Amino acid sequence: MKKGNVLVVEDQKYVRSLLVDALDFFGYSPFEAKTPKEALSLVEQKSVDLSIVDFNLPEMDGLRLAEELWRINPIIPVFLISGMEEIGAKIKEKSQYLKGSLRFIEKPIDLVILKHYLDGAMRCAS
Amino acid sequence: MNLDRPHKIIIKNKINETDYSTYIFNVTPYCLKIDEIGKNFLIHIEEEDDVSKNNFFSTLMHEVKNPITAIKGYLKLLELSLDETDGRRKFIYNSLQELERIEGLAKDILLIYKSINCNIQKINLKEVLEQIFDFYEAEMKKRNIDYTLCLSDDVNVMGDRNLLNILFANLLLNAMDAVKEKGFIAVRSTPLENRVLVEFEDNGEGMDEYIKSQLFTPFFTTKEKGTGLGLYLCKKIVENHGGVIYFNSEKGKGTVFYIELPFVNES
Repeated sequence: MKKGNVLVVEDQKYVRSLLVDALDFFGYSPFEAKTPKEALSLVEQKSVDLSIVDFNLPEMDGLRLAEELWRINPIIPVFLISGMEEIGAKIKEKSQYLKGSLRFIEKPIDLVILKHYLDGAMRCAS
Repeated sequence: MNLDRPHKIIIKNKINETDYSTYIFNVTPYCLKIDEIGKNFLIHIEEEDDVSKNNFFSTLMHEVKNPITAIKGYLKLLELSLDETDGRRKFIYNSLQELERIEGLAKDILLIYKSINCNIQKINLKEVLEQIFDFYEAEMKKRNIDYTLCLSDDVNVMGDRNLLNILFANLLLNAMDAVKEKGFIAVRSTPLENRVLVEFEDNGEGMDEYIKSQLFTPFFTTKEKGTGLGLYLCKKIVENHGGVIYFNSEKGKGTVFYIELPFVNES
């Protein structure tokens, strides 16, 4: 029995593969998208419990994509990932007002911490 | 800040929380009296060449983090897949340690280039130093390190809060690594005529002549996990604030770092 459906939106091939493989290893069902357009189409078609979104994406940035995802599914938690600390500060500030819906994770991602956050978010959702 | 070259002075007038009107003009830094600029202004002082260099390094370091994420993540997955007693875990552990070094180097190089681009504001030095000691207090207790802070009230400098935090945290972490048993660290701040003197003293093992001669050389390190950029970064930060950093160290007795920063004239 899988723990939940998680969407990964990342344009960097090997970071995306890593997240998909790690999610599978941790007992989740991963879906993957390279672009925001693909991500939005997937969320409309499938039941997604949580989304991991890179900040630097083509077409729109990760924060804008999070807002688009919430228009389709207002309760979907979004983990935004980025290697830029300035982005992290901006997102952390915003996440104070979006308790539980938005979390920032800095690259390079520590998979043990990611698992901890995922399991916590899934517990809250259920 | 290198005073021999013209700088681009960017003054941003803060209209509300997020919007600024921006004025950019090229001047030599001699004519800018920073302490006369009000608190509603943000000031960036950049050497022409550094503007593009800064963006370049910021993007480069960001790009480096993607492959590090993938390699580190897959190594971690491999580690988690192996039995606790499997001897091959050591291979993964060693690889992860070296990756952390690359990560540390990338972070330090980015900070060095960020140190050129200061976000100047009035900073209370006592407040900054007390916050840093609060943050590391538990770690010092764990390592049996005693400390005293003797800081003057109302000592303000014009500086970048984030960079000053990095400067003093680096000096404190170095002192913590230098002291062994019965470790003791003392920090004092003294206002002088037009500057403030901050002293970071430890009773650690001190340095020999060769180490002293190389101390601020980039990539020189005596630590197993060091990047060799910590003190070089400290020097860049102090210099970009118009200050100076120097030290006195005696083998077997300890080390004192002295930092002099321009003082804010309240009158």
